[in-house]
Amino acid sequence: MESKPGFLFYAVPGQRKSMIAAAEELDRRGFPFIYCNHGSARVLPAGQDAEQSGVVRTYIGTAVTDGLSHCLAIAMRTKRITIGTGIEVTYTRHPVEMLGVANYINEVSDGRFILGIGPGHNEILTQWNYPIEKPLAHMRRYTQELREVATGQPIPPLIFSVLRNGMLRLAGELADGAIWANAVLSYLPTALKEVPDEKRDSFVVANLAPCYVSEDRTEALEAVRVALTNYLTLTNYQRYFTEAGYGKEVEQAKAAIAANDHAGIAAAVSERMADDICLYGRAADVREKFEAFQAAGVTQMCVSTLFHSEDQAEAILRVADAFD
Amino acid sequence: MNDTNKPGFLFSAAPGQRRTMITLAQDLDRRGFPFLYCPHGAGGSIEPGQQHIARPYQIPAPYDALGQAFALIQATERMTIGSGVAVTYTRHPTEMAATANLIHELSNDRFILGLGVGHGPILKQFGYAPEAPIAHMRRYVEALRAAASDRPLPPIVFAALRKRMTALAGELADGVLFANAVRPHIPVSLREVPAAGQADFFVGNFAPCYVAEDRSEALMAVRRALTNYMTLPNYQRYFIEAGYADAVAEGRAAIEADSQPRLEASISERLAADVCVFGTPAEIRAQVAAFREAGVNQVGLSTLFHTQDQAKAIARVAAAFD
Repeated sequence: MESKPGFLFYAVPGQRKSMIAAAEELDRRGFPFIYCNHGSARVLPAGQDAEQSGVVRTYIGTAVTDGLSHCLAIAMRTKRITIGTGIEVTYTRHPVEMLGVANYINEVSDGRFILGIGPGHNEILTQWNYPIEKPLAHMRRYTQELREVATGQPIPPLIFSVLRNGMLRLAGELADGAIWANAVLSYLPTALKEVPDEKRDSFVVANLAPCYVSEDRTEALEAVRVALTNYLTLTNYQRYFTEAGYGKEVEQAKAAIAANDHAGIAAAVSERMADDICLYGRAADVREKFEAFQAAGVTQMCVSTLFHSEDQAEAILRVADAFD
Repeated sequence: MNDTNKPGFLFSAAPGQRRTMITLAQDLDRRGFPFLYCPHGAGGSIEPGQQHIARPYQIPAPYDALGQAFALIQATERMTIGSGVAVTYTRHPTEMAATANLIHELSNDRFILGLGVGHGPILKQFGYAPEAPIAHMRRYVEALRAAASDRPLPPIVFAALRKRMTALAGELADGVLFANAVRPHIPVSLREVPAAGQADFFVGNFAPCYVAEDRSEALMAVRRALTNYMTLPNYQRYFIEAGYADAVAEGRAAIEADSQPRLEASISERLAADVCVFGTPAEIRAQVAAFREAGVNQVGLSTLFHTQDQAKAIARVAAAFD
């Protein structure tokens, strides 16, 4: 078990240099992982309603970044920390292109790189005019092509973004691990039964959970509720949360979405649901939940501060202080 | 301070050689070499005495131009680094914009985004249906700039061969990047670009380069290098435009006959001298200066076709300019 979490890193335009400096500091302080993501939801501050913002489905119009290049930048400036994409969307890069950069990062990082890939979200892909395939068939085809074009070149450990059990089974068959964002803690032991026994010991089980540290638990709860609204607008998350036992919350959120009521989506997130997904509250509460996720089978437990409205590097280092 | 009399280099990222190449880039940076461009892939080298045509460009070599360019930017302090070129088809314009914006932000204005449509035979092998190149580049760059929105992008240069793509670069980009340009034809091509000759418009070219005291040895080496390109339809059309229709006709006949020696023979000494930089150190310095005279403000040399270790090959050429 790790004594410290990893972090989800987003390369916010204008903040890239400070994020690399934060990565160097985390490396020095012995934090184990950084996962860089492909894009980030635009987060509405708590209390801001849809009328003011003009959007409810916050992933639409999202500002994409480049997780792989961010990983490369961090790999060049760090010595020990493991770096991964969390995750890179398959549709936007041909397998040859994906392999070329993954192989490069893995070589210059001395094998510290993990390639996390996933099919992304339909809402965004549609906006970008991709013909969307069925997720399982797409990931099978893409991974096979990735391995075929490698032609003897080493491929870094490959992990799939997963939510529901079908994709986890596929990861168990074709990949070296799986990465969730917003895994439901109480549902993880059920889900992990999908990983074949022979792979259990080496299989990477990563999870990225929204995290907010505050002495004021009510403030922290409100913050993570807002974080989860981003995901509740996405159909794949609605299905996952329903599968994991939060069907009532999903139905309430759907009604709020239909009414274009952003505050109503946050209100649909029950305290039990927030407790089951997020790390929030005092530093001791956050550490306790971190350990609970590891006890449930997560081998690379990472926290996300993407929804913090403040400077990302500051938000990350503030959470890191809770683990020193 | 970069030395304006020195050339740049085409810098490939062969698997297993990445750290060595980064160290070499740092050395070239200290010595004042002005720029490096990283290619997306590389053709294989042709072995002396090879009988059959390998069509090496049809073998995908999955390098990553942008990844290597970014690594080199981080490892160096002064020199300009570009993708030479990143192929448009394999990345969505939104993805390309995100990458370019990220590298640009961390580069202190030392990054140039070189874009190109790639080669039809490779694209087809990857399952793409290539569009008409001019229409594709216009659509792609417009989508790229739209995706960037208010995020700044680095200078963009287009890979070009014939006049129409050169003219499009003049219209939509900040520069044009040739590979294997025919030197006497460069001023003709640049007439398509009103901005050519202005200090802020990049005109780059990569010429195959081989340094040897024995001119025959050097000529044979660059002839073999050009056979890589002679097998590609877009280069055949370019060489015809540049006045080498007879050589292309002979090259096509050699390809039809699958004869590598005949293909090498189709490259006349005049064509090799018009396209390549080869011979003694003094001769290659003079040829680099001649490309500059022809209007190229980023004269780059390619050693991709050398059979030896790329780092050694580049270091040997660089030594001719110290």
